[in-house]
Amino acid sequence: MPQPRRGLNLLLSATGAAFGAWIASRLIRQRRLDSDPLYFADKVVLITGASKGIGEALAYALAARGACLVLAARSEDKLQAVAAECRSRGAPDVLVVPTDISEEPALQNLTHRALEHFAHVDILINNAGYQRGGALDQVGSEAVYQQITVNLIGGMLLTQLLLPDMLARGSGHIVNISSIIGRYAFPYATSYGASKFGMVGFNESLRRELYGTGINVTLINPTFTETDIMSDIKEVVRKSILRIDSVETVAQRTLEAIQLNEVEITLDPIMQVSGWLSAIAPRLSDLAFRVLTPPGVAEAAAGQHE
Amino acid sequence: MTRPRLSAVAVVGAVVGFAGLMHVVRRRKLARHPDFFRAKVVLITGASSGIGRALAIALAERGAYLVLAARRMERLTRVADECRFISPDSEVLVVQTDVSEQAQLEALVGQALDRFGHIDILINNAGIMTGGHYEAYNIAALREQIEVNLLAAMILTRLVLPHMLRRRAGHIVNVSSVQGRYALPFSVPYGVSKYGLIGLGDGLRRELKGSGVTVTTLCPGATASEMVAPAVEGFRRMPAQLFEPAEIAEMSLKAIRQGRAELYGDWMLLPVVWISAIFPGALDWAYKLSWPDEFVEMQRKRSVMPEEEGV
Repeated sequence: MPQPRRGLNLLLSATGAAFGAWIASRLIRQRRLDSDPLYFADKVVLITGASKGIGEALAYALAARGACLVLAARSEDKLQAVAAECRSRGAPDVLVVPTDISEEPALQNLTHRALEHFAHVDILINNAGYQRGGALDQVGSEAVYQQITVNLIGGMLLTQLLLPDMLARGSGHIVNISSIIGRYAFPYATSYGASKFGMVGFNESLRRELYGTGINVTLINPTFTETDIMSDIKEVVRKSILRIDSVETVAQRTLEAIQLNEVEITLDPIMQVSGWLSAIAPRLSDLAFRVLTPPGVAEAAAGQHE
Repeated sequence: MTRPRLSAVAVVGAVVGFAGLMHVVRRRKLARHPDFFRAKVVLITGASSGIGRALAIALAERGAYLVLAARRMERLTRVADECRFISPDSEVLVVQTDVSEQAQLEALVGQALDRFGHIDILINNAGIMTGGHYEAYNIAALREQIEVNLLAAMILTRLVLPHMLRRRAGHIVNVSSVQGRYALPFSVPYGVSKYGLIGLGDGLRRELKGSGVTVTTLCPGATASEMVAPAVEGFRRMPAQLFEPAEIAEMSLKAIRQGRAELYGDWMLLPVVWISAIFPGALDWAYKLSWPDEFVEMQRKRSVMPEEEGV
């Protein structure tokens, strides 16, 4: 036999084995998901930023699975509407707590009312987020403070408030909805990126600290999602090879990650690889932004407001 | 059999050759500007001790003009005197600054521009670290770490950037940490702030491409500054190198001259960073194995004795 044939055989069989392993892992994953269809039933789940976007979709998905919900956001009217929809979709009990996540007393009130009503919280989803795009020297300092306070410190403080109860019970799940921007920083969203990097750091540090305590920590990195946050740049992103997920997809993947106790998931594999590259070869990874995003996305992001 | 071996040799040869080439290019870049820092205006926050102080002294040796900022005035003036002694012809401006106050940051930039007209290099170095179990973490200490380590750097960069962009020249240096890529437990807010600094540096570098302003992120690794003083014995027993601030300063200045994106003091920690970037959960158990209760104890000691570095 000539040698090239042997190399080809080896390559083909390795590819086949890898493909087979991937199929097998998907099947096992699906079986694990199917084995406990009532995983979320009667679990108490607290969601911040639940009035719209990913938070709203998570509330509906959890309601359909029979979870008890604590919904927090600033606007009470919107929350009541979401709560009514959750009840009609099958949530046994929904508590609405209007909360400004940047205010410490409001977070204490939220914790207090949730524990009073349900006695415990099984799953905390830190979802509230706020973005203001633009070049760093153009963005107002108020916006910088606001993004760090809402996206980062709010979730950190709420986690701290709920943690003693989870530790006492020896179980609980903390879910941080970050962004791929927390692994691969985009230009013209620097303060948003710093807040999301901070959230990734929070997740990593806390997960290692809580190792062995029975409390799970999961990080969700959505990429481009159909929410208000990216309404301005949607048209530009659509022209790229990057995908835009619906909020339902993000909610679905989040619940799967919680049930399987995954450490971290990123919705778009292409951006995930860019994130890896960013940590391993920062200068090389700068190219990823140029290559993956269509021309004009940076400019669109630069002009973006709230 | 010879073919696979030959191609392996070729791959290894190519990698070694590329690394060698990069090394030569870097050396040539360094050799081209031996006086890179002479008469450059450098603003350093947290300059009263640790890495900030070491950077000030190393820059004074190279004839830079310095703007030194920190909270502790006595120590700061002492550092300034050292710098003036080392290099009598270089100018040193001392500004007492609490970096967590925006008004004081504005005053700092105003004074620096009044005196020197421009700022060539901004080094966001001020940082504090406390430790403790997260559920019992002092909220004031939590906020302070994010304000001093992260927000101050963001605000100060915002203030200095327009001047740099107008001149189409400048260099922003953020002192993050290996903990900005691989967060350790029992000092959660510190890890958060250092991750944030890496995000700031990455985003800014991509934003400022082609503007003439360069961004460098420093990840020193364990350094024998006041920050680790209460637990220095614990650090010495860790499986990581413990640096002197002066060593880190030398490395940092080299990285700034080369315009590098990121610098790790301890390259032995790089695989840890890479593995935790790709498989975040893979090394979670490592603490229990390599750093038993000693590490936890060390961090707990810190929560009793919050030490500060150069602020």
